[in-house]
This record gives sequence, C-alpha cells and structure tokens, in this order.
Amino acid sequence: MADKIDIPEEAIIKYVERRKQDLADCRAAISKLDFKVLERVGHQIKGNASTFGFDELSKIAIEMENQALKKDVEKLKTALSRFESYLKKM
Amino acid sequence: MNAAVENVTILPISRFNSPNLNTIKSAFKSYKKSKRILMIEDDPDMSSLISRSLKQKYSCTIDIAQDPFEAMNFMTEKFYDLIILDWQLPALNGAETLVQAEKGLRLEPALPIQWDRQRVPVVIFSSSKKNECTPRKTKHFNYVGFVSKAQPLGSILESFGSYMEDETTYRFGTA
Repeated sequence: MADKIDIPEEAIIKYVERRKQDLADCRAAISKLDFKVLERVGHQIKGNASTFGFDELSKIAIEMENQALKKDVEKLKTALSRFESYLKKM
Repeated sequence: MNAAVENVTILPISRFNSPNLNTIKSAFKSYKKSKRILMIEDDPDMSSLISRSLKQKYSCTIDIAQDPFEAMNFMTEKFYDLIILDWQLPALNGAETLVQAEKGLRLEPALPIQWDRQRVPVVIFSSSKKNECTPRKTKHFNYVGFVSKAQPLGSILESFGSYMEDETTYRFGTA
C-alpha cells in the first residue's frame, strides 16, 4: 500500500478557492447551456479531487461530466447543488 | 568566471585509499543523474502538487507547460529525460500534442543535440481510461506508460516511481 502523504495547507486552500471559481463558471455555463465547460470542469475535478483527498467531490464530478455529455440539464443542476453543498463543508 | 553549471554532484573518493579505476567506476555507477522532466499539465493544482512532491522524493528538475504550445517552446530549448503528459489539454489532446511537437522538432534548426540521438520517454497522466489514451508513434517520443490521476497522492508518486528511476536510453532504432 502506498504511503499517505500530507498535502501542504496552502495547496489545499488554493484548491478550494479554485473550486469555488469552478462552481461560479459552471453556474454561468448551465444558464447558457454550455455543456463543454461543464464537461471540462467535471473531468478535471474527477482527476484531482481524489489526489487532494476529496473522494466525495470526485464522485460529484464524475456525475457532472457524465450528465454534461448527455446534456441533461436537470441532473446537472442537481450535481451542481451537491457541488455547492460540498464546498460549504470543505 | 560564472559558468552555468547544472546537476553537478561531488563524488567522495578518499585520497588516502588511492582509488583505482574500478573504485572510480563504481562511484560513478551509483551516481544517479538528476532527471530533467517536462510536465505538460493545464491543471495548476495538480502540476504544482505533483512537481513539488516528485522533487522532494527524487533528484529532478521539472518544467511545467500549461498547454501544448508552451511545451513545444520548452522542447526546442531543452532536451528532457522524461515527459509527463496530460491527455486532455487546451486545444489539443495528448496524441495531437506529440504529433505537433514532432513537426516542430523536425523544423527547428537549433535543437539541443540529444534530440538527434535518442527518444524521450513519455508517461501519460490522465483521469481518462488508459484505453482512451493511445498516442501515435513518433520519431522523438517513446510512450512508456500510463498513470491514473484519480488516486491518492501517495499512489500517484508510487506509480511514477519506476519511470523516475528508469535509466534506459531510447536510442533511435529501438522499439
């Protein structure tokens, strides 16, 4: 099993700040039905959330990416609500 | 004189033991040269965390390019021992990035000479599935492996370990 490595606090702070910006970008994108932005953000967070130790966020991001590919607005809105709730806890 | 010297290590060989040629050869064999790495990654959180962690664990220097075009600029100025390549990049995917970089390298008149002698190993680093990331064969790049992003940091560093410690040189004409 791989060693658990501590991530510097300043890296986590920057990570959370960027995710808040991502949420704002996603809210703007869904109002314009810009699914490419939602897919890109979902894909990126799917990749980095586990690395930073936010496994639940990774699952939310997978849902975002999948629903953006399907262009399902209602499910995307649900995923963004979950994203927002999670960010408040971070 | 202020010569630009990189990656110099002083190997301790005692003058009192009168080292013979075999001793000197052993000392050089155990010396691991610092790897020069190009990370092509547009996610600033991942690039800064992974590069910082790799530099802490291994002897290496890491240049970070956030898009394929910045990467091509780096490549025309320096030769690298390893390229870590994100598959989903702005404008081009990983395969297209290597193809465009290949074109750029062939046209560049003043490349570092190592580009004419050996291929650079490329590790794909992505949250896409491995079978979705299939690079095309090129003259200057040798695809050697895949590391998944969606895993804890310790697992990522462990996955990179074998590539960081590999001393293989991919001369032209090898597979």
